[in-house]
Amino acid sequence: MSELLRRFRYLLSYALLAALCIGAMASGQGPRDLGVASRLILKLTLPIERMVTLPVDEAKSWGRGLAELIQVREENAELRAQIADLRKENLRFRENLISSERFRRLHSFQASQEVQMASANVMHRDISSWFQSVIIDRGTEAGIQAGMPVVTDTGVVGVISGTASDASKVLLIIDPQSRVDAYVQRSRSRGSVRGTSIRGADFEYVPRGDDVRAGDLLLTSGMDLIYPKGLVIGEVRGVEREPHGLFHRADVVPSVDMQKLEEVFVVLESRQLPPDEAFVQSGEVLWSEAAP
Amino acid sequence: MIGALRLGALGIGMLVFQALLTALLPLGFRPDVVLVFAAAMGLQRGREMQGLVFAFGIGFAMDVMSGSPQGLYALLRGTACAATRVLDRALYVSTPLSWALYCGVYWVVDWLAVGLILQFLQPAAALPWAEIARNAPGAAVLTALVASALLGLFRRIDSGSERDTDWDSFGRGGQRVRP
Repeated sequence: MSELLRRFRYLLSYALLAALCIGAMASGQGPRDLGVASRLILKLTLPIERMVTLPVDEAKSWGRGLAELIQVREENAELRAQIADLRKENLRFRENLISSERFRRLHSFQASQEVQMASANVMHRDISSWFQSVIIDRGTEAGIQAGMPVVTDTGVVGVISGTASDASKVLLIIDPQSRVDAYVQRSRSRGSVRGTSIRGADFEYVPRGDDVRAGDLLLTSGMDLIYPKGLVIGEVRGVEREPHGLFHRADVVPSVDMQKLEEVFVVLESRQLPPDEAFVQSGEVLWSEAAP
Repeated sequence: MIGALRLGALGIGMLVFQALLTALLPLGFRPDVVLVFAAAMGLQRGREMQGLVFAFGIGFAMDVMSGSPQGLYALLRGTACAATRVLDRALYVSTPLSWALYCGVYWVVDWLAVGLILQFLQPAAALPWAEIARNAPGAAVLTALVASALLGLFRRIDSGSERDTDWDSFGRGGQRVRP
C-alpha cells in the first residue's frame, strides 16, 4: 500500500491540489476579505513591484505630459469657441435651476448626506489579459469593505472585490464579470452595462422600442445595490439594432480611461439587501413561495 | 531549504517581471513568464513535489493579484507543471529549441483553457475572444523566445540546490547520481 502511495505520490498530490482549486472556484465569486495567504503574497510582492514599476510609470506619465503639451495650443482655440457656446447654454441652465428648486423642496424629506470617500492610489494592474482589475493601496484600515463602489472625478471605476488591511482589489467595470444597472440620461431607457475587457463595455437588455443613440450618456441607476444612482458610466459609441429580438445592444466607451488610472476614490458606503431573516422576522416576504 | 528559498525568490521575481512587462508592453507583445516558470517546475528531477507546490503557489499568487476566480490560475499553473513533467519524458522538451516550441504551444493551450473555464463558470460573460485571439500569435512567439532564454537561468538557479540533493535536476536526463 505504502509502495503504491509512494509510486503515485505526484499524481495524488496533483489531484488533491487541483481539487482544492476547483473547490475554491466553485465556492463562489462574490466580494470577500482576502485570506492570510493572499495578504502575505500582497505584502511580499507589491512593495517590490512598486519599486520596479514606479520609475516606468513616472517616465510614461512624463512622456504623456509632453505629448499633451503639444496638443494644448490647438485645444486652446477650440476651447475659446466652446466657452462662447457654453455661456449661452449657462443662461438657459440658470433658468432651469430656478424651476428645479421647487422640486428640490418637495424632496426635502430626503436629508442630503455627504458621502464619505477614501482616496487611494493604484499600485498594481491585472497581469492577465482575460481579466480587468487593479489593486489599490488602501484597505480595511481605511474603512474599505468588499462591495464598495470605486469612482474617480470622471465616473465609475468598479467595485471592491477583495480587501486586506492596507490593500484592496478592484474589479473594473470593463471586466467581463462586471455588471452595472444603468439608464440613458436623455431618454431614461434602462439596461445593463456589461464589461467586454479590452473593447470597453456593452449596454444590453435595452428594450427594442427604447430610444438610445450614439453620444448618449449612461448613468448608474442604483438598482444593482452597489453603485449610488447618477454616477457617469460612459458614452454610447454606437447602437447595434438586430432585425429580430426583444432587445438591442449598444457599444459603450467608459468615461474613465482605465489604462491611465492612477488615483481613485472609494465610496465608503455599502448598499446591500437586508438578509432574508429580517423580512421573516418582520412578517414580510419578498414574494410568496406558495403558488396556488 | 536554500534551493526552495531560491525558487521562491525566483517566483516572486517572475511575478514582478510580469507586472513590469504588463506596464511596458502592449497585449500582443507580452510574454507570459509566470507560465514559463510554472512549466519549468515540471522539469525538475528528484524534487518534483517541490516543483508542483511552487507551480500551484505561483498560480495562487496570480489569482490574488488578478481579477480571476480564486483557484483558476493555481489550477492552470499546477497543470502546466504536471503536463511538462509527463511530456518531458515523452518528447524531451528540455533542450532550448524544443523547450521554446513547447512553451509557445502550451501558451495557446493555456489561453484557451482560461477562456473555456471562465465561459463555463460564467456563461453570460462577454469574453473578449476576438481581441485576445488577434494578440495571441505575438504573445505565444514571445513566450517561446523568453522561455528559451530563461531555461539557462532556471538551470543556474537550480545548480546550487542540486548540490543539496542526490538527484539530477532540470531535465538533464533524470538519472540518479548517487554519491
